[in-house]
Amino acid sequence: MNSLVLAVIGIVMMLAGYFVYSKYLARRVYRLDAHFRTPAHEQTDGVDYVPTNKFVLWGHHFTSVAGAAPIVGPAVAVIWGWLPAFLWVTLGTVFFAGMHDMGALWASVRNRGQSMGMLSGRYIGARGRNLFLVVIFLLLLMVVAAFATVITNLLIATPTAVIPVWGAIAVAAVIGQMIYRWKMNLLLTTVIGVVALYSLILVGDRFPVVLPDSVLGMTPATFWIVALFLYAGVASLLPVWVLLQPRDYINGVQLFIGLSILYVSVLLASPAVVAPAVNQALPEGTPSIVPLLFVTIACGAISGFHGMVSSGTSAKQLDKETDGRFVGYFGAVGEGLLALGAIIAATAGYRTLADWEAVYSAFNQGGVSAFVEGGGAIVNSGLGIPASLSATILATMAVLFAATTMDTAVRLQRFVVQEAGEILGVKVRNVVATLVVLVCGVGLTFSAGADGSGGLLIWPLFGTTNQLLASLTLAIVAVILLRKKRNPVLVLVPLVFVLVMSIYALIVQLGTFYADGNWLLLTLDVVILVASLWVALESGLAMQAARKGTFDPETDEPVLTGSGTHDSTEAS
Amino acid sequence: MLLDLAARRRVLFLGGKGGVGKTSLASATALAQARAGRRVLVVSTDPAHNLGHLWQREVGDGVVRLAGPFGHGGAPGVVDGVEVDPARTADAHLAAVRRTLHRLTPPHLSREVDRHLDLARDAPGTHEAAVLERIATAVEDGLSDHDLVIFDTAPSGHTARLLALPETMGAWTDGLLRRRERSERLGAAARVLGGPGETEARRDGEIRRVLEERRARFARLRDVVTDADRTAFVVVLAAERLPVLETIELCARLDGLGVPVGGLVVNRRSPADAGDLLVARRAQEAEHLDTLTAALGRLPRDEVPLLAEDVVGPDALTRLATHLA
Amino acid sequence: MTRRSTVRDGMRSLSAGLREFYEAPYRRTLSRARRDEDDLFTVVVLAEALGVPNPASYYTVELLPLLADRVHEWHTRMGMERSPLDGISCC
Repeated sequence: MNSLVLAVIGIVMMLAGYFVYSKYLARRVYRLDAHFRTPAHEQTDGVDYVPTNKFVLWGHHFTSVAGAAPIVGPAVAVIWGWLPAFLWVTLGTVFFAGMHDMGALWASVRNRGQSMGMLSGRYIGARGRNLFLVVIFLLLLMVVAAFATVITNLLIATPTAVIPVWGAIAVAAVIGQMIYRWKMNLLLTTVIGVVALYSLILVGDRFPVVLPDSVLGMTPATFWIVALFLYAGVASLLPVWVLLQPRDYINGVQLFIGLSILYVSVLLASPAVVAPAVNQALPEGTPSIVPLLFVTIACGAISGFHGMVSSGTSAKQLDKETDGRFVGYFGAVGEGLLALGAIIAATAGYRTLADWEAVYSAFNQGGVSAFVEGGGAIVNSGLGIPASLSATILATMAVLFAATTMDTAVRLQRFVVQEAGEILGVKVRNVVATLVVLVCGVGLTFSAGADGSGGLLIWPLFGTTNQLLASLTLAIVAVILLRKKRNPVLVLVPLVFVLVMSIYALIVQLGTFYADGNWLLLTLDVVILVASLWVALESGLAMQAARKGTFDPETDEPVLTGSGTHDSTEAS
Repeated sequence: MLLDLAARRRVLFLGGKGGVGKTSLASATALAQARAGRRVLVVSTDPAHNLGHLWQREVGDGVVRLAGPFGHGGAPGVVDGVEVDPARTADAHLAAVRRTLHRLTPPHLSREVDRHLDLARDAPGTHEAAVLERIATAVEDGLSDHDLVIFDTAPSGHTARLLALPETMGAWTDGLLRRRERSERLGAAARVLGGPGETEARRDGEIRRVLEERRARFARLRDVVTDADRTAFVVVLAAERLPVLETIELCARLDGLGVPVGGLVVNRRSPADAGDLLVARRAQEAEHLDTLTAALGRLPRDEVPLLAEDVVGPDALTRLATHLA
Repeated sequence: MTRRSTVRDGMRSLSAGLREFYEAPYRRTLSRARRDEDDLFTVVVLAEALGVPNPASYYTVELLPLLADRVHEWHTRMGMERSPLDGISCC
C-alpha cells in the first residue's frame, strides 16, 4: 500500500464527509439558520462577543484544539496495523468528531454562547454542572500528566530537540515584547521568530543535549518533568501577553509549516507503508484492539476537548450560524488530517517491516518517537533534508504542541479549581490554585511511571476521560434535539458507541493496573469509571425526560400542560 | 534682608498669621524692586484681600497695574497686582465640564447636572485646589512676563498644606497615568479592527493628555517652589508667643517640604523710646525673640518698627521699605 | 491596478490576517484585563458620586466628560439600576 494512496483516500473521505454529511447535518438535524442572530451580534461587547470572520475563527479553533494528541494517539495505535487506525480516524472524523464539534458549537450558539458547564446544568439537570466540573478537572489532570510524559520521553529520545524546545520559550518571550511593548510589525516579527526557531533547530541538531545519569540528584526523566511543571506553572501565572500569547502564535505558525513539510514530503516521496494492514504478529502484552483502539485515538476521531473550545470561545465569535459548519466540522477535519499524517509517518517511515516491528515491540513503546523517526525518514526522502534534522524538526513540533497544550491546561485547571472553590465558598488565589494543580499533576505523572518505567500508561486514561467529556457533550446535543422533537439517532449512535467503549476500556484497564500494583492509576480509573456511569445515568434520565415532555420550540423550556387531558407522553 | 533677598529671587512667598502685615511688606518690597527696574507681580491669595485697599484702588481677579513704569529707556520696572478669587477659578475650571455634560444630558435634566457640579464646586478641597491652580499659573506666567512674583499667602497652616499639594497630587496623577498606560497597551493588544477601537483610542489619548498636563503643571510648580536659587519663603510675624511658636512650626514644615525659607521679618516691633508701656512690651518681645533665635537663629531676620500711621498708598510703602535691608 | 499595489495590498491583508491570528485567542483575556483597568479608573473618577470621599475631586471632575459615554455600560454591568450620576444622560 502506498502512503500517497492512503493519504488521498483519507483526504477524500474526510472532504466527502464535509461536503455531504455536514451539509445534511446542517440542513436536517441542526437546521442552521443564516438569519439567526448569533450571540456575537446579540450580545456584542467588544470583549467576549465579537463577530469574527469564519476563516480566522477556523484558524483559532483549529490551532486551539490541535495538539500533540492527534499525533501521539495514532502513533501508538498503529501497533494494531494501519487499517484499524485509518478507519477509526477517517470514519470517526466524518461521523463522530465533525458531528460532535459542530453540535457543541450549535448548542452553545443557540444558548447565548454559554459554556459547556452551563449547558450541562441546563440540559442534564441540576447536578449536571457539578458533573461537568468533575469531568473537566479529571480531563485536564490527565492532559497535564499525559503530555508531560510525552514531552519527557521525546526530550530523552531525541536529544537534538532539547535546545530548540527550551529556546523556543525565549523566542516566544522576545516576540511577546516585540509585539506588546515595542509594537513592531507583526509580519517582520513572525519572520524573525520563525527564523530564530529554525536556527535553534539547526543548533540543537548539531549539539544534542543528553543529561547525565544524575542531575541535581534526579534522573534525567525526573529532571525534565520537574522543569516542565515549573515552566507550566510560571507560564500560566504570567500575564498572557508575555508568554502564552506569543507561544500559541508561534505554535500555530509552526503547525502549518510542519504539516506542509510532512504532506509535501509524502507527496514527493510517496513511500510505501511497511506496516501491516492488520497486525497479526501483535507483541506480547498488547491489549485487545477493542476497546483500546477507540480510547488511544481520541483527538482525530472524537474528542470532548474540542467541545469545550467550541462552546468556550468559538461560539461567542460566530458571525453567522451557518459558519458553524465550516468552523466546527472542518475544524474536526483538520484534526483528522493531522492524525492521518501521524499514521503515515509512523507506518511508512520505515524501510522494512522488520525495522517497524523493532520499534513497535511493545504497547506504549512505539509512540511519538515512531512519528518522529518515521516522519523524519519521509521528510528526508521527500525533501532531502538530512534525517537527523528532519527528526529534530518533527520532534520540536510535537513537543511544542504538547507544551502549549500543557500550559493552557494548567491555566484552565486553575480556573476550574477556583470555580470549585467558589461553589464551596472558598476564594482561592491564583498562586495557590496553580500550586494545587502542579502538585496533582506531578504526583500523577510520577506514579504513572513517567520517570522511565511506565511509558505511556496514562494515555488510555486520558483517552477515556476525553471520550467521557465527548459523551457528555453528545448527550446535551441529544437532549436538545429531543426537546425540539427531532430524531437524535445520528447523535445517539456515536454517543452510545463512545460511552460503551470508554466504560469497557476502563474496566479492562482496571485489570491491568491491579495486576501491575499501580494503585494511584487504579484509583483514578475507578473515579473515572464512576463518573462515566454517572454520565450515562444522567444522560439517560435527561433524554428520557426530553422525549416525554413538551418544550417551547424557541427556548427549549419545559411547557407545563395545563389541564392534563392532553397526555404529554404522547408527544414522543 | 528682605529687599536683598527679593533682588536675588524670581519668586517670593510671604507667609504668616492674618494681619501681621504681609500685604504691606509684599507691596513695599515690590515697589522697591520696581524702582530698581524689575517688573514685579504681587499675587494675593489670602481670602481676606487688602491689596486693593492698600493701593487705594480696585484690584480684582485680573492683573492690574499698581505702580510704574519706573526708569527710563531700557527696562522699566512696574508693579502689577491680582487678588485671586478661588470661587471664580473653580467655576471656570468646571465651566468646560459643565458645558460638555449639558450637551450629554436631556434638557429637562440639566438642572441635575448643575446641582451635581455645584456640589463639586463647593466640596472641601476645591477651594485649595483652585488656589493652587492660580499659584501655578501665576508662577508660570509670572516667570515669563515678570521678573519677580511675590505671593501674599493665606494664614500659615493653609499655606503649608497648599505647598504640599504639588507633591501628593503629582504622585496621584503619576499613579493614574501608569494605570492608563497599562490600559492603553492592553487595548492595543486586544484591538478589534476598526469600529469602537478607534473612538476608544482617541478617548484614551484625551484622558492621557489631560492627566499629563496636570502632572506637568504639578511638576513645574514643585520644581520652582523647591528651587533655592529661584524661590524663597519669608515668614512675617509679630514678636508674641503664639506667633513665634507657629512660625517655628511653619518653618519646620516648609523644611520638610523642601521649600527654602529665606528669612524672617518681625513686624510692629515696639520702640524703645516711646514711653514705658512700649518699653515694657519691647522687653516682652525680646524674650519671645530669644525663643525664635534659639530655634531659627540661622535664618536672617529683619525687624520693622511699629509705625505711627497705617500703611496706605505708595508713599507709606516707600517709607516702610526703608526699614527693610 | 499596478503590480506593486496588488503586492502591497496582498501584504497588507496578510499582515491583517496574521494580526488577527495573533490577537484573537487572547483577545478576551486582554480585553477583560483592560476593562478591569478602565473600571478602576471609572470608580476613581466617579468616587464622589458613589459616596466615597475624593480628595482629588477638583482633578477628577475634569475627566468626567471623557468617561460619560462609558458610565451607562459600566453601571449596568455592575448591577446598579440607575447611574450614580443621578440624572446625567442614560437612565
